[in-house]
Amino acid sequence: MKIKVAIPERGETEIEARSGWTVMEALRDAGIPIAARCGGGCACASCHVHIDPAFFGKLAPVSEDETDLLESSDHYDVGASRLSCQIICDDALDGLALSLQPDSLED
Amino acid sequence: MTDNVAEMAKPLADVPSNVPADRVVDFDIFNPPEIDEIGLHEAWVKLQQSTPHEVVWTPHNEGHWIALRGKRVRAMYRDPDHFSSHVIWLPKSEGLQYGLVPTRLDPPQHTPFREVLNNAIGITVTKEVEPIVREVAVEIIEDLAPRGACNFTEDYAKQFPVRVFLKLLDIPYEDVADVKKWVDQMTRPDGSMSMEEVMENFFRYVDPIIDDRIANPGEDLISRVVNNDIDGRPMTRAEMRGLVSLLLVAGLDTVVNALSFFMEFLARSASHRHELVENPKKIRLAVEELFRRFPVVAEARMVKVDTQVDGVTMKAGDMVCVPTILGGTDDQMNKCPMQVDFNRKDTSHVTFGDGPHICAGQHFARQEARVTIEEWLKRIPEFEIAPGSKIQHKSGIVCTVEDLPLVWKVK
Repeated sequence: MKIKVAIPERGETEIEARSGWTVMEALRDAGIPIAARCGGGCACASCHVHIDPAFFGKLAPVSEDETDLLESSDHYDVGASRLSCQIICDDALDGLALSLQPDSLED
Repeated sequence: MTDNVAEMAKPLADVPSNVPADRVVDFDIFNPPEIDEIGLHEAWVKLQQSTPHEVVWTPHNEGHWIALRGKRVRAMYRDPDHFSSHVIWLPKSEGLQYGLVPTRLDPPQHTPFREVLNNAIGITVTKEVEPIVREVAVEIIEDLAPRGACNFTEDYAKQFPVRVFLKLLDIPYEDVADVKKWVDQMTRPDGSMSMEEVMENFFRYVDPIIDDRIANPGEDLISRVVNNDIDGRPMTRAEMRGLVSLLLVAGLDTVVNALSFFMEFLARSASHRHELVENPKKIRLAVEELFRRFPVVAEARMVKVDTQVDGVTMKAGDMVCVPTILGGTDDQMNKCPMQVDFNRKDTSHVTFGDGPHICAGQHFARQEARVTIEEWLKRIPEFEIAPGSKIQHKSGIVCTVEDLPLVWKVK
């Protein structure tokens, strides 16, 4: 599947992702500068992305733990925010469009 | 501390011409200076704090680089084009013998194998099997609670992941002692068995199990692994052996050790215990903080092409120790890193590694740790280290607490 990625102040790019990996892992392994400081454990919010409205409703529901972390972000948007480590790539999500947030950029 | 004479007598490597004199340190990853006096993490952090450099070189274990800063460690794990997984264990001559698929592969060859592991032990399966994990934890803790004392490493940490894995892998209990012995020889060799012998033993053990699960596939993890293809072609026997052995090694030797460090800490800190007993919902993020503060793995990478790092040239074929131990404990990654703070924000660590080889079982490990602490504190909220006992740590590819005698008042 393909993922369209917008990076603040760096424009857009498209990456290829394989089913079964998390979106965070796909971004990381494609060299996208995502912080992902806990490594994918739903334990920090540094892989926070905004999901395009066309895809947001297609994702598996947000867990309570994930919501707690997202709510602590300065860029929380209830209709767009997800942790990319909690979304599993699947061909049904082909073309998934998302944007990294300032708190998810690697420093 | 090593008690093996052959190990101690090993000669130090000569300093190669690409290593500047000011990068040379005297540090044996299997026996860091002062580990007995100050503890495992403190001994490693002391090395980190002893130099302004981000990479140093030690003549121990055939000579290798060591990355000292968390961000450097993370960057190396994320850069397989320069830091290959072709050899991941030190010393290099031993690491060359160690051949579990897919840990020694770089992308793109690594990718389809990793998918098999993701499917076998990733987020989805982890959530499914939580009731099994909890059942095992409760069983062991309810057995221990009325005794008022235990050796946590022997009586819980070594039992729990093994029993969980027996259920998930569907293998017989009597085999565990042998398997655990080989795993220990891989990660903390005492010289009694060569790596070649260890691998032979492992493969001889897993072969009939693989045959059985191909003939009679079930829902267990081994069946899920061996009945797979690799980008459309059948898996070879060597690949199956590697993946199945990896499940055993990873399942039996890592959580055991992390849990022991966590419980040593909780036994020593009444205030942290109380915080969790009073608010069990905090345990999930508390576990993350404990993983940050007490990482246990020191893997390595092999330099693939000559690479400039922190002002030095690492030569193709050089080994670099990439210690997860120096991630979350680095003061450039986290403020006051040696303090455990269950309310810490912006936690950063590389306890599970990073990049394409990040621990495939990380979600499972977190769950095992969380369930253990939840069920333990419900039944044994107050406990301490048995008076008069000295707790010893041992450093290696996977680091351990040797024994952890705990005592508590029986209700």
